[in-house]
Amino acid sequence: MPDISKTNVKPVIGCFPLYPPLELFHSMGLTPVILWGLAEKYDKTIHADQHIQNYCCGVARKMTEYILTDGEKELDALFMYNACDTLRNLPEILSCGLGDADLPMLKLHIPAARLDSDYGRNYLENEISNLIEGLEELTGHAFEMSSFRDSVSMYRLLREKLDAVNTCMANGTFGYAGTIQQLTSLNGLPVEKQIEALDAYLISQNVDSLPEKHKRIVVSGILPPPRYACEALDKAGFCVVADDTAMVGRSNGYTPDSYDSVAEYYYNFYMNHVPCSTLLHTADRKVDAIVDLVKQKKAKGFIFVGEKYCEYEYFELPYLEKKLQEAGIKVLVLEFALGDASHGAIQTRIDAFSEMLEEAP
Amino acid sequence: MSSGRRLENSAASLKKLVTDYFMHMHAEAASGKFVTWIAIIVPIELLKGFDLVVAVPENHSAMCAARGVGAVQAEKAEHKGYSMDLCSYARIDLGTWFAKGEGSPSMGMPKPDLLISNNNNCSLLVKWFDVYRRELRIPHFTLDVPFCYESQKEKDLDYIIAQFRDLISLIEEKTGQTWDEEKVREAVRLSDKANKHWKRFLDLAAHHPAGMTAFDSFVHMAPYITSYRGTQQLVEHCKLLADEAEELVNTSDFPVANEKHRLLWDNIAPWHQLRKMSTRLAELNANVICATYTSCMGTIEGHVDQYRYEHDNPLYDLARVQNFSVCPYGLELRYQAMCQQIERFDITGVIFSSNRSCKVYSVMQIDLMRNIEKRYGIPTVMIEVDHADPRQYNEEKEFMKVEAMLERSI
Ligand code: SF4
Ligand code: SF4
Repeated sequence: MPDISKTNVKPVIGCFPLYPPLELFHSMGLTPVILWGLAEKYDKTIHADQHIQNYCCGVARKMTEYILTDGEKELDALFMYNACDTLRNLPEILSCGLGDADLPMLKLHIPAARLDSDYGRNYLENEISNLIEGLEELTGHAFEMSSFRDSVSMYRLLREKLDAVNTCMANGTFGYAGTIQQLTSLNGLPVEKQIEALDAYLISQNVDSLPEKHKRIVVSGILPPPRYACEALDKAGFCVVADDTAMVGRSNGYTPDSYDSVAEYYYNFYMNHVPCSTLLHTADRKVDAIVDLVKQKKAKGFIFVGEKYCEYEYFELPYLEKKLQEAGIKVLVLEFALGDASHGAIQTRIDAFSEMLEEAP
Repeated sequence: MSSGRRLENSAASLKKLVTDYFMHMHAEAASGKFVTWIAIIVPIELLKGFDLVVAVPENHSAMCAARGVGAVQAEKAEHKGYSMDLCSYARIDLGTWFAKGEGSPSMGMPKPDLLISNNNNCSLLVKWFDVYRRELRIPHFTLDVPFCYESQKEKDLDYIIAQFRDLISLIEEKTGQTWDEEKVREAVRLSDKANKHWKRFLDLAAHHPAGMTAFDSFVHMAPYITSYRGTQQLVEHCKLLADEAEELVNTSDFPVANEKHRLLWDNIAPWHQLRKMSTRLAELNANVICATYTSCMGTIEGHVDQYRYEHDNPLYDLARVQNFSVCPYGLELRYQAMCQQIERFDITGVIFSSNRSCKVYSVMQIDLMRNIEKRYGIPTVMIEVDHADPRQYNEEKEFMKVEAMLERSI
């Protein structure tokens, strides 16, 4: 992740978790930064450990560490919406940790149940209106629909570029480790710079140097695996034909086409979001969507990247595994925890999975 | 410590209520009644407008844990691939389901026709109930209750009421019954009465020595979190409990007569340790005289006093108390509620039970602990206890921390 304060001239709003209304923030003159992918920024979580227990997931602990260490220096505001049981307590914990630091926080509640109902839709639309009011107060700018449309176009373009990168990865022209490193490095940049960086990255593809990759896999989880594990996947000859992690595939899979208001945009955005265990109203569709994705991409294997202590993901795992196995897909479950040093064991399991896929018909 | 004869009549009443609950549940389900499984804080009173069998998986898991079969049942879910990091209530319940009730003191619960969860106690519950939805292909209605960083807002209250109406329509459609609002009004009135007695019982903690222990309250909350909420039986049980406990105070029969330490417990009851822990504490002249877990019953967010159901609109009242239990509200409100208890009951120390199963309850305890120590200068301690899985509890190690805290408070 780049040094946020150096790369931004506009005020920065740090967001968690992964699906905030980026376009809205951008249209109000802010640079939204999703506070994810911080795994390599800190070796330890000394400050976070003063506030949250070590049985919280690494994502929450690293993010807390970042906000308490560099938040005041690099961010101008924070934003969070409701997600898992760990995150919902964080706003007040962060306030305790930040003490007198001036870091305003905006919140949004995304209906977690029947978003298809009138009351669910009305609630969300009301939440978006309140958020706009909060942003107007924070930035001193009035919301403008034309700016919002421009911002949507910008993010649509970004998602198209990301899609192109994923296609290259699926074709084997980009390795998994390099792609994930590239995507991680984008976070913290303004959307315009992210697009430029992706353009440059797409030009860099070198089709001639492609190794033969026939072990097609889909990767899923909250975050992509850490770098050493991505490298191990490349080395073992896997071709990641789709990354369904919350940070990559689920975040970038959908931009609403037509809308008459910002509320309608976000209703469509959350309603039709790529299914994710953290968006409860989409969870129904998740397992089928993954099985379909695996089939559509003709993958032979599936790797579940478990974030230790992430209840949302782990609760669905047994059912997901069952459905994939019924569809004849081989499954590897890897678990990653903060500070674990089991690189060798992960490597061995990846190699064993590779052999298993080679033998598979 | 007083003899084990304390609260004898209440204990007999409790036993009868719990036995009847499980027996009737199975019998009525066998006779073809519509079975609903609900999360603990789904408003049971609202369901009294129908003729349903109502079962509460969390309550069943607590009962398994208290009867010493928590770990065995949890393992059955772990063998099916459910991670040991998931809440032990969920693992116990799922394990019991996969084993078709085997190993459970109540032989599990009858197969549901409808699942009703909510995400304000925790959103893990929604995932847990989803397992049954997929297995059984039955509807799962989730009440979405926005988390309260401050007192419940009007917009959230309206949103919850709209969901109640939707739920009522769903049950009407599934059962062919018509919701009877009058019955619900009566159930709300009865809950209000029961809450009054419950608070009367809890307030005996103000006496020196305290007239009750939080361990008593853990045990006697059972009918409250089964389908007895909103019934005359619960009113009678709570009244009996408060009367009997008052009578003991009047005769100077106290749970810890030489009480030196008056403690507050923060988190779910350690179901597998109730007797052991209360006995060991009593030997040190310490009594856990109140608990955030049981003081929240009958209140609203941030309070310990009773919230009175005084409106004629039962849906309003039931929506207003959707945040009564501790988990659905934030650090500041929890801090306020704990301060009220510390002051009212002359608390001399606080035990924070850090419970990896229940992140909603536990994550924020470090700051709560720091803030309380700073404000009151009383010792606090954090111990690691899983509420229902004894494999995640090291008695000697954790109790030593409690002993060290007690030494600091002398
Ligand atoms: S990884 Fe899971 S537990 Fe952690 S913040 Fe994300 S959703 Fe919550
Ligand atoms: S996580 Fe906590 S609130 Fe949720 S079911 Fe488990 S014990 Fe209950």
